[in-house]
Amino acid sequence: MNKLGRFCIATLWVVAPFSASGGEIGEIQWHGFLTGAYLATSGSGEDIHYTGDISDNGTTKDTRLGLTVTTQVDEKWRFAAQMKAKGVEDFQMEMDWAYATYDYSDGFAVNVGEIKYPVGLYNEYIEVGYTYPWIRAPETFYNLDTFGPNMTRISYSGVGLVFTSVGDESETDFNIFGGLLDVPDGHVNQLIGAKLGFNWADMLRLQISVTTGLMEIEDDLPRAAMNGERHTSFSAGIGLDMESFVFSAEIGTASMGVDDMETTTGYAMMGYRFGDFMPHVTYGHWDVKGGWGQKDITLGLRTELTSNTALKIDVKQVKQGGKYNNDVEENGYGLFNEKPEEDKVLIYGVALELVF
Amino acid sequence: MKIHVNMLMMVVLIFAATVAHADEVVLIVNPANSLSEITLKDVKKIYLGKNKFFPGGGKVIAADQVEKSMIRKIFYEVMIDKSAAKLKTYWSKRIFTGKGTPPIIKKDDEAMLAWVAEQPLALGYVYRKSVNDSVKVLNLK
Repeated sequence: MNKLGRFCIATLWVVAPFSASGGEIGEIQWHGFLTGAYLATSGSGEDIHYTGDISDNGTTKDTRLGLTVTTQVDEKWRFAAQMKAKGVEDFQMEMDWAYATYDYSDGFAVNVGEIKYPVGLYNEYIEVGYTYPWIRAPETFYNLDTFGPNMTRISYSGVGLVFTSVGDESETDFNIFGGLLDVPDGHVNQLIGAKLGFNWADMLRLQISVTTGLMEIEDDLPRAAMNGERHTSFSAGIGLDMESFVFSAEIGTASMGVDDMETTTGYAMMGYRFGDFMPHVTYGHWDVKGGWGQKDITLGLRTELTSNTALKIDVKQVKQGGKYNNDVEENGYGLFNEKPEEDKVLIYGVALELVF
Repeated sequence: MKIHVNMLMMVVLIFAATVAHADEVVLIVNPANSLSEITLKDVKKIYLGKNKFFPGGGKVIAADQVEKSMIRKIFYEVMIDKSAAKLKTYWSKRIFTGKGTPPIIKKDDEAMLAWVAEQPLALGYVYRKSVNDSVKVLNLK
């Protein structure tokens, strides 16, 4: 969290109590979410980790708790911030994002602060597992490592201009944003991005995004070749949520300014609700020009336990190697840190999701 | 065939009962509010957090009744056309991105009437039989 984010949080805590006027303006609302998760690999070996944290030994590092606080300061200004404690970070409570919004009208708003990165259908609420079918949103699109698909990030510090047009059944939103972005071992400076989205009856969602920025990566790391290079990304997605049938798919390309690191990625998910049960299947791929990447298939089952609690079971098979070169020994092992014992590795998990 | 006819009759009866209840639910605002009518589409947009202003301007603060109340169930199924489960997911996506929060909660008609009478920006709903002179009923266009 940078200075701008900290400033927003400090402002929230100082302004909100004094802005109360007896009505709902000034009232502070708290909401929260909880994920309890266990994930393990089968066949990777004890010391070989998928996405840095899952091995044959199993892990509960995806377990997390989040608290979101919002307040309407006056008729135009509102503040929101989210704190989270994650198993992967030893449950240290930290700010996820914090920003102020000025609602000029129903059609135009300005966001200022540390803002969730708006690229990807699920990224803005990716910590809230209750809102999507899988235990983890597809890593072939949503993994954050700079040696990963490079499609999306946690948050950016800066300004977002949001234009919204609401029709009888439709809603179109256009978001132009810019600022500074943190990536592992560095930053993306002079970030500029745009997202265009279209909703129909809260059933169909279409979304495209473009971003560009200059990378500043610390020296003497393998990632140093990206230093000073331009990072660009393009993505497009479709989400369909009917009474029973659920479908979503996203594709994307990203460049990190190095020929070998140009990536293409995508996934497609299909599910069907039988009452409180929703089995689903997802195919994902991630290909890097340098040769590495992976393909995976996930079978999952989401069960609604109560109106705010869901139980999920996922089994994913990961096949290492991208389409440009399947020489896994030579060119990396997908999102594993080392070559697993098997070419195809199973990753299985169970999670309990709660919002309150 | 007989089973189908019986099922159809049940559906018709349930629908008729729902419409009868829906007619008893009215939208209310503070008497100082110059608005006298509103469309169902505008009501839906306000209660889903898509519109933050009354038609024609003026900030709106919408209020719900408690989650398990019959009046809320009728209001959402008939006027907003969303089930409780869909609403939970819908609001989770907005709350946990800072884009908006659901309407505030009032425990019953009495609490709703008292709040609307005091809050110039208020929009709420109560049973028609509970309405008194402290609030103004909006006509649905």
